[in-house]
Amino acid sequence: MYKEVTRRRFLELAGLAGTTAGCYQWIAPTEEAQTRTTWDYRAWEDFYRRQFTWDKVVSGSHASTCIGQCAIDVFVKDGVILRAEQSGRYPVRVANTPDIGPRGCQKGLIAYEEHYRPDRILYPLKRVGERGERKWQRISWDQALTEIADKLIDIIEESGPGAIRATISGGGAGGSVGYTALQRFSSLLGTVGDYPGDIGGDGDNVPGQPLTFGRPVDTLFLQSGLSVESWFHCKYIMTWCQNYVVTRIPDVSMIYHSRYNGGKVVHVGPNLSPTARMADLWLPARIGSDAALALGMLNVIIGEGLHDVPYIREQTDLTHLVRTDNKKLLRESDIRRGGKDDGFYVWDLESRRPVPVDESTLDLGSVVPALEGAFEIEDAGGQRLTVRPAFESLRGRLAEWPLERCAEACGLHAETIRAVARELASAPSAMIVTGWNIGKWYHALNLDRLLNLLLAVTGNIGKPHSGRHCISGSGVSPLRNFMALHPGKPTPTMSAHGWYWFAGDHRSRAESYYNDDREGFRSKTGYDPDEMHKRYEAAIEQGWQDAPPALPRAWLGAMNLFRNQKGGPTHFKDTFLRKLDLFVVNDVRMSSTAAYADYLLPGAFYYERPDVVFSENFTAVTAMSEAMPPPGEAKTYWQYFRELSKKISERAQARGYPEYIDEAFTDQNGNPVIRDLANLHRDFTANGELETDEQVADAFLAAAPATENLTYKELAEQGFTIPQTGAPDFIAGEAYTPYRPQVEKKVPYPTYSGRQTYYVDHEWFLEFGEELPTHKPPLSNDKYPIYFNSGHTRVGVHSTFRTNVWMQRLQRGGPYVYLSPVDMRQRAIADGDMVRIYNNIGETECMAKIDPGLPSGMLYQYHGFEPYQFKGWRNKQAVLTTSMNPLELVNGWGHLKAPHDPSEKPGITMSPNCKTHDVTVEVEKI
Amino acid sequence: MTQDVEMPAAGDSIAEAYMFLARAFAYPSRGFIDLLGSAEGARGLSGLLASLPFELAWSDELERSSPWEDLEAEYIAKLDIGNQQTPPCSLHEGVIRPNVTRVETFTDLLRCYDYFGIKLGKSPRRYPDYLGVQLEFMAFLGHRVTHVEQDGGDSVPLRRAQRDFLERHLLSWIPLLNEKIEQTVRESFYGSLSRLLLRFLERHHEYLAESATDPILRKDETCHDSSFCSWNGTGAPSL
Repeated sequence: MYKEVTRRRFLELAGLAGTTAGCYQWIAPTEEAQTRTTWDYRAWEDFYRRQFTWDKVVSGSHASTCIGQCAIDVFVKDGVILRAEQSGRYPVRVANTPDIGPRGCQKGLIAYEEHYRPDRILYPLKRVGERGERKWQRISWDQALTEIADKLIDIIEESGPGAIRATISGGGAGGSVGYTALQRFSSLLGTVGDYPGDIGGDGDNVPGQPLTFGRPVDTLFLQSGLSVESWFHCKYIMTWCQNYVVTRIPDVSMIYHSRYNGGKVVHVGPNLSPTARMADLWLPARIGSDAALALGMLNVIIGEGLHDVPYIREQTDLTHLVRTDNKKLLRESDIRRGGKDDGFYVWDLESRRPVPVDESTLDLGSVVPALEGAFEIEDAGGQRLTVRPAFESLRGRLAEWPLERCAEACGLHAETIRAVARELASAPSAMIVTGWNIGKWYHALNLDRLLNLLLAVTGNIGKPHSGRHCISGSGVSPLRNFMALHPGKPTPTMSAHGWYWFAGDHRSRAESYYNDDREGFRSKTGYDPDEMHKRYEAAIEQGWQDAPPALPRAWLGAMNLFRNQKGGPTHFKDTFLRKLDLFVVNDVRMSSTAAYADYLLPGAFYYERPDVVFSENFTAVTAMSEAMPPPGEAKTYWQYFRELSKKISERAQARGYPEYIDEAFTDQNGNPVIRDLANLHRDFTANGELETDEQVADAFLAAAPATENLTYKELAEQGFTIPQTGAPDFIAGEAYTPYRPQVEKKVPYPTYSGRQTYYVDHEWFLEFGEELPTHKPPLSNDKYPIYFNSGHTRVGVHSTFRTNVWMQRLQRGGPYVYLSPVDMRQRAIADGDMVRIYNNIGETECMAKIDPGLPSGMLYQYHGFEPYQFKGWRNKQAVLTTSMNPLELVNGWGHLKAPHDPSEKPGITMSPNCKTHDVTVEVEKI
Repeated sequence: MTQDVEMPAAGDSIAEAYMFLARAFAYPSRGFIDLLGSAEGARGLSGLLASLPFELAWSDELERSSPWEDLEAEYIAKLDIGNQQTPPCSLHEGVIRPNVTRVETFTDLLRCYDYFGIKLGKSPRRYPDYLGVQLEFMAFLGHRVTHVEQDGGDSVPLRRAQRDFLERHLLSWIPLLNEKIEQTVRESFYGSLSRLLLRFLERHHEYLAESATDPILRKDETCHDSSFCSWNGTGAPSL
């Protein structure tokens, strides 16, 4: 006998009264299990005697920024994924090409386990301590959204929506539905957003592509490339500053295979990287000297007459006449009163007179443009002018860079350069593969344009299996789909790099770094460090770039900001965060950025939500599926923004603040844009038509020809689809090569003159002597002798998977840096020693690892480590800074359109790119 | 107000204790924690433990030692989500146990749950190795014991299943969890609770052996699957 009432009362108070079947919180017994009276369990082996069956096998993929977007079959039992396999169902899309399937990599195969991370965010958390202290309180979604909505309305009322930045990356929230959520929210509310396709925040823009080719062929990113089938069929592949063996695991086999198809692979890079090891020839150009190598090759090709004259005449602007008096392109307005400012001329060798460039076609007809010579003409005022084809200017540029000088600059033997140049010029097809590396150099524009030029003078752009490959080569882009779901309201747009230059105090950090070596800086740029910012202000004044619309007050992001932004958490907590009233992070895990959040909201991960992703090198559109429900109270990114929109509407109505009149923008009638807060939810969901993730995925697929014949459900059932249509130059069943219509059908490029653009007579380009590309040394601080170089790792996609236990077992598990044996010996550093890496703006510590393949004066750290893996959270960003190349700020010249340019003419807006590779450091043993 | 009444069925009282422990380790609610720290709560818990069919010596108090805000923050940081990468006292078997992968743990658990007709709850969703799921599964078996016995059936298979589950899972990681909580968590409530959990599991395991008429449940015939059963009968896991 015992005291029953006390016990019962206790159970009642504890909410446990009546603890019989049906009261469980975490389990759900079946009806049969709850009524059964006979059980035959003998021992645990009984569990294994039963045939194991899967509840379902679902095709999924990942919205990470790895761009592989491989289809993975995941095997589900009771809503839990226990196994993953690469899909073996990819077809051979192009005849006579090897089977690319199964695509995937080790990260894709452990992605399902990443869903079970012990630090998975399960419910909304509110900060109750200092930022970064990681002292949290669990709150309901309703409380979180109410408080966030109220704060956002406060900010809009006081500072306008331009004080809010909403942003996203690929960690968990990415994908088409995820980006659509961000785009709709940002556009309707008027928060600061990125330019479409801009990825400059991380230095991933490849600036020479929009400059040379105009808007690339319908790609998402401002880049273009060739599909993997072209890689296989190409006969001469140069992997340049690219580590494809590590970074493009699902697709790199096509480069391997090309060597069994008569192809040759040449790698250019300062270190013996995994990609260098698989090449037929490795050219270890000195770090930062690649442009000199390219100039040397051009010297050989043109000097020996190996260039493709008909191609150059037809496809490039190198025939355009340039005035010798001011280096400006000759325009119609120069020689005829009232003439056009954008009408250009060539010298026709047949008629021996200047002939206007035909903007409607690349077909030269009977015109034979001169590539060489100087010609006298009369200007509109009757004065004599001397003009020369831009090709002559190129010869002049090459004369400044004779082969020997180039060889000395890049550290390669002149005869090696000569041999490679001859091979490239004589190859039946050739491509240069670059990635997101070259854009991170201050002088990226020079190198990028030179690589384009190398292929242009050899006639290797727009021909099958030839051209520049810059990341995105599927020929099918989601950009059209995105634009179709854009609500159409203008919003302030800034490159992420530009925005953080102001908001994140990158400017002062860059000036601090470079002011330490002002003379060196001046000798490399011709101006002082503070001129970078002055140029930015000048570009804003000219209308070439948007200004930050307001001081930042709120940041709503689904990304690991402090991992990727220069300076890292130690810089950002003292600068950026101090400005913010609201710092909201949506994530699946406790990242280094999440740790600083005011509100931390749980997101659904890759296999927990429907979405659509596009492979960038292989032509496939792949479904992400809800193979299992998200844990705890996690929501999809769409659900999160939908509910936030709803809450803003409710609170705006309740507070009697239904709208904000946004004077910064005008509608079609010239009236200020109304930010309709009270109806934000209605507009966000398109009157209820876009409520669920599936509905958004359906609308997204229906929005463009490449995907319009599929519903999301159909796509999810089949896993992926191989589009039969895409960019204008996409040909179903053929390997994708951009710019074929230009070569085959003489369709002009969407550029200033309709040709590939190599000569830029913008005043800033002329001022810096970069009207044609050249070589300039990296913008280092010469007080520190070692370049800090970094790239993507094979054991993570940025910081995603980087702390996964399996991925950590494939490397040292913690941060490390590769050093050259020479540098280690000089500093008495042994393999495995802890080292301090420092310069005048910061320091970071990690383990040293010897790499005999590294040259002296360069260290290498695979990126993506979480700041919290380092002492004091000082990751590599603690020693890195960015800079600002004024030439990447230039718009309002030809096809480089100013932001919000209302004209219908084709064009693209250049935006500044984050620069880090120029930074130098010193290393010492701790 | 108390009065002496008849004991509840053994299976139910054990199930109640499992349900109580599942509730106590879930995200803390202030009302519940304060109740446990009150005299009424202490009496109630004492009554709950007294109703068990086996003796469980327990004198600790389940009183919180820190302000509510700190307790909540520490629960999040140490037991539930963590500050970075892994909470030191994760309430997931697959995170705490060495030498067995998370997915292997999931697979074994799902096979077991599936055998007994158990699905994971849909909302809120937790993974199969979550402590609350495992404790509720044991409670379910307890309820079934009562149900079967009241129906005149044979409850030995169910008690056998409880014994095996304790050995293959709960007793293979709770000692380690208890150790980590003792070492890491400042809030004394969780130290006490963790000791209570471990003590209860051990006593339940002993009870299953002691009370068995079925030779299979004899103490010397424990589960010997080396891949999963790291419990060695001493209260400490084999590592």
